[in-house]
Amino acid sequence: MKFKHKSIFKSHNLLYLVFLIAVTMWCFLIIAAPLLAKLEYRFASGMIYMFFSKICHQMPERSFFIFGKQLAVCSRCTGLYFGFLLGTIVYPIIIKLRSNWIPAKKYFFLALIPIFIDISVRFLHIAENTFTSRLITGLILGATTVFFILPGFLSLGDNSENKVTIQD
Amino acid sequence: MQEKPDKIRPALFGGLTIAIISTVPILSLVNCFCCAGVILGGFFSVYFYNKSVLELEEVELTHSDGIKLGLMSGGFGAIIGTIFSSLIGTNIQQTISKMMEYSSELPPEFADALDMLGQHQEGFALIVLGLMMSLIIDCIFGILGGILAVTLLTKKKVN
Repeated sequence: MKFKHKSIFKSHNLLYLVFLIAVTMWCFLIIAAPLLAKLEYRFASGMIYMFFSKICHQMPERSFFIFGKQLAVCSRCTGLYFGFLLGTIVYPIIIKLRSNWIPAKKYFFLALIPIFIDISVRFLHIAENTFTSRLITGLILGATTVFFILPGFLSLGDNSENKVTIQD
Repeated sequence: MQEKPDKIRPALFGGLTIAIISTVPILSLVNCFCCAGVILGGFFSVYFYNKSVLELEEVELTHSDGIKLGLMSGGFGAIIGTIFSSLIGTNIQQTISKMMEYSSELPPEFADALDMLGQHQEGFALIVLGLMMSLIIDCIFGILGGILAVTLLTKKKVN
């Protein structure tokens, strides 16, 4: 009797689902911190704030507030992570999960330009960036990055050793 | 078929990069930009691994290599970083007291959690807590850096 060994991770759809759940959970945690604080679960909320403090400055004047409490990360990070989630949701609509197609590298660097300009103008005291500029530049980079990361992750589901085509 | 090069050394190098960036006070600000320092560590580990791969004819860089290297460098980075910060005195307990002392702008829930941890946990437990958080964060962003590096460092077809 022959058994066909097939890893559960040898499926693009399943891998995509795992990725989507992970990204959604991450974004949910960002909102969960103020939500839990509002519901008086102060310790749980505080632990989430503490967790995200390792990756974000969490300055209140640069953060969005919901339920009267600030999000677990600043406006730029909020843009990046929610942009990443948006990109992950949109990805299978634009590209077939099995195609493993990656856009040209220049698009990744192009997506870095707005955020670089936004940071530079403030750093060089040319102008002050705003909530909107931080959010939008974060969204652009976050949503673009998905298209360079997700195909690599999905390629784990290929039988023929992770073949990925990168556009020139 | 030639064997793939050893991953430990490049991963350790990536881990060391992560640890240095996370520990050195001014450099650690880099991590405020979505863990850019950790992503860079994952990226470096793939970069150095790729150098060894290029010397071999039959071996090619794959995304699974990038994921493994990113994961390993993230793990190493969290452990080495925790050791470094304990040695140079920037462990989580001191960070907590510094935060309590200087920042009146912390979310009150954060301050409460810090307060509760300070009351009920021993220093060692706080280091373990910090290590756990670093392990999760560094491994996630290390993997992202690893995948990104494979995508950006390889030409046309990645095997």
